[in-house]
Amino acid sequence: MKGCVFDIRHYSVHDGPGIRTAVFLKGCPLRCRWCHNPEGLEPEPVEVCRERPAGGKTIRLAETIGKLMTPAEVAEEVMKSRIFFEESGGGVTFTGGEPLMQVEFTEACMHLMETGNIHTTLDTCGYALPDVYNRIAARANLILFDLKHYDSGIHQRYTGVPSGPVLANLRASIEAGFPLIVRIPLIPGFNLSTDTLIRMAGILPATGWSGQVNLLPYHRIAMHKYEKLGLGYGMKDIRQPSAAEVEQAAEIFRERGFVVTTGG
Amino acid sequence: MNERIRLLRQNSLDAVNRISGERAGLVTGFYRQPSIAALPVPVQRGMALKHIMQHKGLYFGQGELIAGERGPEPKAVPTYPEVCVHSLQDLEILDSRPKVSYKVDEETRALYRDEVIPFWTGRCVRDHMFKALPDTWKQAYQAGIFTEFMEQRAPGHTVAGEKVFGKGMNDLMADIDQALDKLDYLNDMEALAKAEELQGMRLACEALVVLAGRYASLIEARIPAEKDPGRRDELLEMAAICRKVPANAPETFHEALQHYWFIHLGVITELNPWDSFNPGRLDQHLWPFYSRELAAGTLTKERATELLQAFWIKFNNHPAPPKVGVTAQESNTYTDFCLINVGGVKADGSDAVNELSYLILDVIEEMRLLQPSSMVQLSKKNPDALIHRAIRIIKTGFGQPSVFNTDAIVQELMRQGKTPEDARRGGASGCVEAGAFGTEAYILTGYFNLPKILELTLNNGRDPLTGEQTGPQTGDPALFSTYDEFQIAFRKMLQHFVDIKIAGSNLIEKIWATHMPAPFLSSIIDDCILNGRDYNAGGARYNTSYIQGVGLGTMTDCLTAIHEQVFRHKRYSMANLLKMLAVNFEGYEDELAVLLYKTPKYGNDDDLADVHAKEVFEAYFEAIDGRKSPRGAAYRIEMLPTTCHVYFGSKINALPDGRLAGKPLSEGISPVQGADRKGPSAVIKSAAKFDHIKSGGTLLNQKFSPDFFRDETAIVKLGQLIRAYFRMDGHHIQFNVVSADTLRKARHHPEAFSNLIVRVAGYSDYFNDLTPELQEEIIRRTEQEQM
Ligand code: SF4
Repeated sequence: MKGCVFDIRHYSVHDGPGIRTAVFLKGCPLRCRWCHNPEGLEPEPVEVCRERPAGGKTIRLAETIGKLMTPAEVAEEVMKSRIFFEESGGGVTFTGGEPLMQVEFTEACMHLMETGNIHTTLDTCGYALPDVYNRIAARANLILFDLKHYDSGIHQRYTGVPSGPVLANLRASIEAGFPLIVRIPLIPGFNLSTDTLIRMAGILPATGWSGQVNLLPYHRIAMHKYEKLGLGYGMKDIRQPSAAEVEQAAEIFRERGFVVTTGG
Repeated sequence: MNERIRLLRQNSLDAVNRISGERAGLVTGFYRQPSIAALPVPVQRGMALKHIMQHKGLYFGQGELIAGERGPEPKAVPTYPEVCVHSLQDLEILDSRPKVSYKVDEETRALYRDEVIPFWTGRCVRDHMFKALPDTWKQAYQAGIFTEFMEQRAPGHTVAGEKVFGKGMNDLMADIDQALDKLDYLNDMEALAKAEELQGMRLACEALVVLAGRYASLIEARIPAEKDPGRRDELLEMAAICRKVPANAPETFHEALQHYWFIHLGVITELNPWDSFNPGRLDQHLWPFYSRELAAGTLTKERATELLQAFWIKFNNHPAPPKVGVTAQESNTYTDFCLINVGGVKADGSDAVNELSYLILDVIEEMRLLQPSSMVQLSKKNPDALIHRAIRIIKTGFGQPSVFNTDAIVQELMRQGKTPEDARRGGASGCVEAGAFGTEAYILTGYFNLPKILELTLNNGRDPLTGEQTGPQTGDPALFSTYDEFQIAFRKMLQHFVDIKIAGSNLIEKIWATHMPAPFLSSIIDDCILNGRDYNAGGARYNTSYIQGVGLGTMTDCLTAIHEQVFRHKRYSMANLLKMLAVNFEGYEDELAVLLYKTPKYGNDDDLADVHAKEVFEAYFEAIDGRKSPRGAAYRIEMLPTTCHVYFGSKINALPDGRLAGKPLSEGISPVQGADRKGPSAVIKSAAKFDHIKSGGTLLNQKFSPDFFRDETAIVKLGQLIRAYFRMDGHHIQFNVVSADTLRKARHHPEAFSNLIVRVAGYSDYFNDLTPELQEEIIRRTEQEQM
C-alpha cells in the first residue's frame, strides 16, 4: 500500500504536545479560500517548476510535490525524531490536506506508530463520513479538529462544502469523549465577529468537557505559495486580525469556561 | 541597573578603542638596560612585569567598585613588542581599517619609530619564529592551509581554578619558596633551570602586590576630597581591600572579585595570551563568599548584583590586543573570549547550580555587553529551570549565553587522561574549548583548512590559485575509478599537511618555552610551581595542543557530491567536474543547480551525506589525535572557526558542493549556510553522527526567528531540543535570534543599529563591527529560517 505524502516536517512545535513530526497527506475535500497548503489540495502528485538561484542565474528545476510512500517508509522517516519525542512527550501528527482522504493509508501508518509507542495526533477538517472519521479518530491520542463556521451556507461559500457533516463528527467526538482541541481559524469577513464566535462557542459543551479551544489568527504567509504555484488567491483583500481582536475572541470563549490558547 | 552602573556601562560603551604605547615603552626601557641580558630568562620576565606594574599609569574612574585597568584608561590597549613588534605600517592599518580599528596617536607612532621598532626587530618571538620555520611551512601558511596562533599572541587559552580564589600572592610565594627549598641539586639535572623559573614566578607575584598597593594609595589619596559620605566609606573600604588582596586570600564577596580582577590584569599584562584570562566557574568560586556573607548579613543580593555588574564592565573595558594580517582575519573581533561558566557539576559529580547561577544570568541579561562572553553548562543533573532561564536570555537575541554539555565535556577531558574530579572542575573557554580549569595548559595552535586539502587533492597537489605544486602528487583524480581511491588520496594529502603543521608547532612551542616564559600565569596554574616548570614549557598538570578543523559542513557536502554524482550515479565524470570548478561554474549553471539542490546535504539527517561528515571527522582525528609535542602535550582536534571560515574561503576556488570561488566555508560543525532544509532537529541529528567525545570542542550554530518565541511553550521545546542534542553527546550549541529583515536594515542603516549584537561563531559581536562578508553570511544563515 502506498499513500501520497507531500511533506514530512520535523521539529513541529505548534500542533500537539511536545516536539512533533508532521506528516502531510495529500488531498482535501475542502477548498478553503484562505488555505495555507494549496499544494496539498489535489490527491495526486503534481509536477512544478521551481526557480532557484545558481551562480548569478536562475535555474528552473523540476520538482514533484507529493511522493508515494509505504507506511513503513513514513514510519522510518518519522522515527528519525524519536529522541525528540522522548525528551518532550511529542509524537507524530497526521495533517494535510486531509488525512481522512487516505483513510486506509493513515490507518496503516497509525498502526505502525502505535506499535512504536508513539503519541499520535490527527489534524482534521472533520469533513468525512462518520465511519471513516471514526476509524482514525477513535484511535488517535489527540484530535485537532478544525471548526470554521457554524452556518452551512457560509461554510459552503468559503470552503466548498456544507458544515453539517463537520458538526456531526464534532458532536459525536464530544459525546464519545475523544481528546479534542477545537481549532478555529479567525478570519476577518468570514467568522471574526462577536456574534459568530458566540454561536460557535455554543456548539461546544460549556461544562464537563475536557477539550480545549485553539484560536488561529489568519496569516497572509501563504500568499507567496499561491503565486509560485500560479494559483489565484481568494483572500487577497483580507487583513490579519489585530492582537486586540484575537484577545477579544479569546475572551468570548474564556468567559464561557473554555481553556483557550491562541496562535499555533 | 542603578545610576552608577548605568554610567559606568555607558562610559565603557563610549570609550574608543585605541593603542596605548605605554607598555611597549616600559618593556623596551626595561630590556634596554645592559644588566638585563645576563639574567636568566624567567627572571627577566618576572622583573619586566614588576617594572611595568611599578611604572604604569593607573586609572580609577568615577564611581568604580572594582579597581584596575590594563592600560592607562578603559579601552586603551597595550602592545607586546617582545611577542610581535608592529611596523609603522601595521599601526597605520590598525588606525585606519574600516573594521575592528584601534586609534593610534602621533606620540605612539613616534615611540614605535624611535625606540620600539629599532629595539625589537629581530628580537621578538615572531621574528625568531619566522626565521626558524622551514619553507614548506611558510608555503602552506601562505596558501591558507593553516594559520598559526602564536605568531602575534602568547599561548594561554586557560582558566582560573579554585586556587585563584583560595590563595593570595603571599601564599603562592610561600609555595614557591617551599619548592625552591626542595630542589635537589644532587640528583635533579634541571634543578638550576627550575630555580630560575621559580625565582621568576616569585618576582611576578611581587609585581601584583606592587600594583594593588599603588591602587590602594591612589584611592586613599582621593578620600579627603570626596564630599559624598557614602562614597567616602566605599573608598575607605576599597583602599583596605586593595591593601589586602591579592597579597592575601579574599574573605568577602567584594574582595573575591577585586582579587580575581588583579590576577586577571596580571595575566594579560605579563603577555597577551589568547582568550585573555577567565574566572571560569564563577557561580562556584563565589558561592562560599556569597552564602557566608548573606547569612551573616554583611551582603545583600542587591549589592552582590551591583558588584557583579561593575565586574562585568571591567571585562568590557578590555578589548583584545590588536591583531594584524592573518591573525586579524582568523579572529577579527574586539572580543577577547573570556567565557564565564555557569552551572554544571561539582567535583564530586553532583548538581552545581545554586542561587548565584541565576543571579549571574540576571547580570548577563541586564548588562547585555559584548564582554565577558557567557555560557551555561548543562548537565543531565541540572534542573530544567537553568536552561529555561538561559533561553529567556537567548531569545532576547544577543547571542549569549551559549549552551554547553557538561557531561560531554567531562567525558572528553577524561578520555584525554584527566581524573574525574579535575574534569568536573573544568568547563569550556574561548569559543568552545574544553579544559580542566586551573590545571591544564590547553593551547590552540591554529586553524586547519580541510576543504583546501580537498582542493589540492582534486588538483593532484597543485594549488589552482597560484599554479604552484604546493602538495604531494596524490594521483590524478580523473583516473580514479572508485570513491575509495579518492578517499585514500585525500587522507595522504591531509597527513602531509598535518605533519607540516605539527612540525612547525613543535618548533614554535620550543621558542616560546625558551624565549618567552610566563612566570605569573605559571604561578597560578597547577602544578607549575610543584614542577618548577613554566606554563609555556609543560609545567601544568595537563598539557594539550589543539589544531582546530574548519569547514566540516563544506567538506561533507563536497565528498557527498563526489561520491553520489561522480562515482555512484556517474552523472558527471571527474574530468567534467574539475572543468566546472576551474571556470567557477560559469556556463554550467544547470549542473551547479543539481549540485546545490539535487544532491544530499549535511544537516538534513540524511545518511547519504552524514556518513561523509563522520568520515572527515575520523580522518582528521586519526591524523592528529595523540601526537606528542616537545613540552609533553598531546595534539587533539577541535571543530571551530571564529572568523577563519571567511579567510579560508577566500583561499579556495569553486568546490564540488556548488560553493563558488572565494565564498566563506561552513562554520564550526554547522551545515553549509542554507543547505539545511529540514529544521533544527535534523541539523542536530546530523551533527551528532560523529563522536564529539573524541574532540575537545565542536561549535554548532543555530538560528531561530524571533517569531519562534511568540508563545511560552517555545522555551520549553527549545530546552528539549538542547537536551536531546546533549543526550546524543553534542558538545555545544549557540543561537542567533534575530530576523534577516532586521539585519538587512542594519546593513543599510548602521547608525540606527549601533547596539545590534549577533552571534558569530563562538562569540557575539556588534553587527556593525563585522566585515561585509561576515554580515552577508549571517544574513544568509538567518534568512533561511524564515522560509
Ligand atoms: S481544510 Fe485545510 S487543507 Fe483543506 S482546503 Fe481547508 S485549509 Fe486547506
